[in-house]
Amino acid sequence: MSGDSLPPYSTPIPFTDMGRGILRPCLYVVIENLDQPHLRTDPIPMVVDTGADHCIFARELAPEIGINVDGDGGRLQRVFPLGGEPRLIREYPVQITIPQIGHRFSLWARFDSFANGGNGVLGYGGFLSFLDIRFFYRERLQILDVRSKVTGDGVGVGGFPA
Amino acid sequence: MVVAEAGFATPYTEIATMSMEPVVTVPASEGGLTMSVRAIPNVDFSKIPSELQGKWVAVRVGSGVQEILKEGDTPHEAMAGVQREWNTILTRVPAPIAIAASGESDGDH
Repeated sequence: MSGDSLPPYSTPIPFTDMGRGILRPCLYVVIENLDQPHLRTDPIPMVVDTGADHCIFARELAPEIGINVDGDGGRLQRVFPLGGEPRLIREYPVQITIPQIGHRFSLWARFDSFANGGNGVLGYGGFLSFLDIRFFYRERLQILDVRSKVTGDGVGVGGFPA
Repeated sequence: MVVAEAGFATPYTEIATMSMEPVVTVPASEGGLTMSVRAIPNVDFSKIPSELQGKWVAVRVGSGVQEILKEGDTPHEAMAGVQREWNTILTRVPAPIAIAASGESDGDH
């Protein structure tokens, strides 16, 4: 399979009913710790956020996959949140699997608090940069166009810079 | 479905140079985490009791039905002792979504 590309295919997934008439484009995500691959979450609904630069997961999920967000692991990055002050935040190497399309993505994940109790957001870096999603708000569904390049170099670990 | 009768292409705005890390994308069937493509039904938050807002819950979702298996203050509590099946999901129940008079919501991100 090395160097080959999967033929493009499309998967329609309805929006998720958040209650009170609010619909959001969500996908289920299984988060796996790349440093401890046996630790992974169950499928968790996450909002696809086309305006988010990165993937950010709820802080409470980090211990589930053996990540101590209060420790000195991962790597430090400076972030510039919209409407907020620049600050340093740690990123950790994880893999996420989208069971609805059967694909895995390796990325640097951030864990942070969500004021309204969200599980997390899937943003550009490491996710939307490799997957095309079309949104049809009137039909209340999203269509995932999967045509990411597939490599045979192994799973994940080769994707991170030293 | 009519997708579009006319299309307009507007490039994204580049905020900063973002390192495009070479990410390996591998179908789950290629090894490691064995997980087949599953059409897991969406969880319907409108059917989750309001008293669980803010809690983590393990939910079994099926076609037309969903069952709350356990709740907890942490993901670990919610999943402890729960028999995991392909359609068992973990989620936090969102706080109430305020509806302004204009009909706008206060999204969480």
